[in-house]
Amino acid sequence: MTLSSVIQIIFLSFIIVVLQIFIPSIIVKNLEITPDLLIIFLVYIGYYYGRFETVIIGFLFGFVQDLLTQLELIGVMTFSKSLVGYLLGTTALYRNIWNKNFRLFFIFILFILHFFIYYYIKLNGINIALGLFITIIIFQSSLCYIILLIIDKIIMNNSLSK
Amino acid sequence: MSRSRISYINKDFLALLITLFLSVILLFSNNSPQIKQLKFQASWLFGKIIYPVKWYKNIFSIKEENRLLKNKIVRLSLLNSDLENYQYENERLKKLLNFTEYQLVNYITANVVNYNFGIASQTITIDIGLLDGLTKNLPVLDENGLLGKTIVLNDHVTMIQLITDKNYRVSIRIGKERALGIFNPTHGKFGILEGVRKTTPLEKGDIAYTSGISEIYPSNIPVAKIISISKEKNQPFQEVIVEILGSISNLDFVFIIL
Repeated sequence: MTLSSVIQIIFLSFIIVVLQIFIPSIIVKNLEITPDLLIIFLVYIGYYYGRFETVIIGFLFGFVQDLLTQLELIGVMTFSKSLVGYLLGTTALYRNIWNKNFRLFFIFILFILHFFIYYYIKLNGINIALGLFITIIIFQSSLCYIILLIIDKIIMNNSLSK
Repeated sequence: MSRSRISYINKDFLALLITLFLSVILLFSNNSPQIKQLKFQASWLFGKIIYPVKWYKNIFSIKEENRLLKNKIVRLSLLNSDLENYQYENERLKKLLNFTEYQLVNYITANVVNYNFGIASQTITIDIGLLDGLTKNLPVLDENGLLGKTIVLNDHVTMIQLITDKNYRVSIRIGKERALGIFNPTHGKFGILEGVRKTTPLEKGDIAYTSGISEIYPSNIPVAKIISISKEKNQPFQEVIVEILGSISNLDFVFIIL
């Protein structure tokens, strides 16, 4: 990773964190669901730079997200984004081996894993139906996935789905 | 750690471990209900994961514990049997103490060293003899009653003819009238009283004492207790069956009246 890349990532990260703060939430069955732009950004970090960088940036993103959104559960996003960041870095290793459909499927599975960890801890000890729990995870993952596909098509010029 | 060893460690994986470790520390530093529940679940999961290890370790500790407990059981059993013996001895000695308080006669205590419970003769051997001042035909008793008399002596040991010996006879008095009779052993701890007239009033449980009409036995040594009485029309005497009072079967020590 070159110095210019680092500066570029810091700059983009700043913008995305600001966007994340002001992005509107969707209410699903009394539960506030916010699209996670940081995990989308992490997909591209993973795809272009590999595991090591994605783990570090995922950890920092998670930490910032915890500080800004849920101080009482600090560490949840840090944990989830570090782990998913490592796995997203796999896409860089297999960039030329995996086909685009498998890659996109793998990313979607990682989104589910990310939100599963997050909601499992956030809703831990709260009496919630399993169906609703799964619905929330699928909904949140799908929302992020759709945003990812839109960004990939419009801004990133189909870099993930080539 | 050598250079090749360091390079072998995957830096991506190391970064993941460090970040996860830091995340977990951050996470568990909270005190929210969710994290408390998570801690509980994590400890439960940890317990389940390490259960086989604990189980494996426990097998060895249980083996060792079992060995120690077995040793302890053996030691305690020995101690228990010692204590039972002490208790028995204590009870016996208490009885003896009570017995000696009411005895005005001069006597010597002796330990029983041998038994001979044959069909023809029943004897015991004690660990004192002529040098201790014993002579032939001295009465021998325990805390309950008459046991026999000395018959054969040497310097250090003496043979006692037991009251259960077929050839043993002793003159007794019984009942309120202190009627005379002869004790005659029959089998085991039992015997009969011969020569007790029909007119003598007797009851079960009456004690027969030595009569004193003898060169061997002083009077009033308990001999036996009546257990049954029968009177035949064509017989001049009562048939009185008695049980010997002396503890024949469990002799440890005896008294010899001088």
